[in-house]
Amino acid sequence: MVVGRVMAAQWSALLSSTMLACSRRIFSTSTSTHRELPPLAEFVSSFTTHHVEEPVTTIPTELHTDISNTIPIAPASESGHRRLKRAELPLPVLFDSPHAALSRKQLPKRTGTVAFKRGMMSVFDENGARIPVTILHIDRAEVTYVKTVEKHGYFAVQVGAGARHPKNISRPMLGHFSKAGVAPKKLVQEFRIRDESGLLPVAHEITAEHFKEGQFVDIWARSKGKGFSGVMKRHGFSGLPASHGVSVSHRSAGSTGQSQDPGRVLKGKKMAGRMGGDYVTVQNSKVVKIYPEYGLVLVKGPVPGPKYAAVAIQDALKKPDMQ
Amino acid sequence: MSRLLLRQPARGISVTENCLSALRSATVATLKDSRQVPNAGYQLNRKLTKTPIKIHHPAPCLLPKGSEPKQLLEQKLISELDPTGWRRQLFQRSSPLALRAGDVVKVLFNSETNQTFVGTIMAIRRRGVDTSVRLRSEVGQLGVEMSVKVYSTSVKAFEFVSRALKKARRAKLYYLRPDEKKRK
Repeated sequence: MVVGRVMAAQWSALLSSTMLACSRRIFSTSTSTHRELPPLAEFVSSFTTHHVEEPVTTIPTELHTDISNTIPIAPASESGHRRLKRAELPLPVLFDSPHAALSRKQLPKRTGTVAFKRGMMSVFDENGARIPVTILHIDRAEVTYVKTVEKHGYFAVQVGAGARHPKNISRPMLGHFSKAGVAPKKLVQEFRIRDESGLLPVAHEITAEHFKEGQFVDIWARSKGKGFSGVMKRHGFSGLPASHGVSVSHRSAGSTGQSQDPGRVLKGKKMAGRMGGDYVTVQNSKVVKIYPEYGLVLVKGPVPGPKYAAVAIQDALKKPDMQ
Repeated sequence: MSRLLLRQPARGISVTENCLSALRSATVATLKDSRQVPNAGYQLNRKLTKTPIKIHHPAPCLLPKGSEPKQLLEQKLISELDPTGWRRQLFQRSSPLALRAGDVVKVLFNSETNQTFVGTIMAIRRRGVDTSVRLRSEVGQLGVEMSVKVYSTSVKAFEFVSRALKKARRAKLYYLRPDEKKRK
């Protein structure tokens, strides 16, 4: 019995110290005038199980954890103003939650598209200055799938571009394209967007007119592969002198470390190896001209990857939103 | 049935496994659907019943087949930048008025001061819309070279001054540059 009393005291102390972290249900189900402590099993289960009352469809924008200064007051009743009960207060959004993380993430508003790099040329502006441009061909880009926060945890639009013979496509992918109502595509790319306002209907065609002349875009693609490259090409090392007794190591790295201490080559030491073939993003490229009749977008400057390779284009993250 | 499969199927029609198996059974009547393996005690069911997948036909590509977008765009751009065609007359190889290496030419620019440059053509670099010409002039002791983009809107006109006395035996006249070693 003594043990039971001690446990009860400990239990009430625990309750008072963890008020803010408690689930709403414990206090709101009680209808009596004084607070009745629920059974211990229910109390313990409230910490171990995650209660989800309704799915969150809108991303909360306020992330304050300390609500002592912002306690809302109920509208005036016949008895006068009253302070809202703790059970009626809105719960603060946890900083370490997927919904809070999603609201913090910097994402463009609109989807992007896949295009194929078709070489470079130059155009002249009204002042006669030459602008080098890369020709990007948006070839039959259509939305093949849509991802939402309810089902997938984030918002994204999956775009497929190009065309491929059905005999060269696996049966699962054929089913995927068939469900979307599009022809089998050469490749498919997902574009993350900020919220549901950027979602497009499945089978919606994305043309060159998705982009406006003068807007900025981010372009990413796999860079040209350089194979197994030496240290001078890969990391810009200066090598060794061409003469003055240097034997057989004109393009080598030279020393790779110190002496007895640390007595080993440190991790991450720049050495020869495979170079290229990795994703490179070029930010804030300007769209110079659009030819909707051909599905061509001319973008200023170079773009990673070889000719005919696929690139992904989306509105620039570091520039104002495009509508 | 067989005639349908040989022709290109119409938009939206699916080629199903059921069609194929029906054809198989129609043409090869001796094959049985379930094959009995001797002394194995089981049978293999050869009936394939996969659900058909509707395959949509792709829309036609906006670029004409076999065309290069760069060629298409350059033709468009050049006709826009050179509507009367005088630049093409001066710099296309086949034209009767074509300029050659060794000719002396005067360039007029679209600047406020109406800047001009007179010089000998050292080289003509033909690259479609990027075509440029390199001119060399000796202003007293100082040699000046200038590379001019032919289709640029800043170029107002090219005036033909004189042709070379003797036809240059090469296309690029970089030998006109003085010998650096001799000067010292």
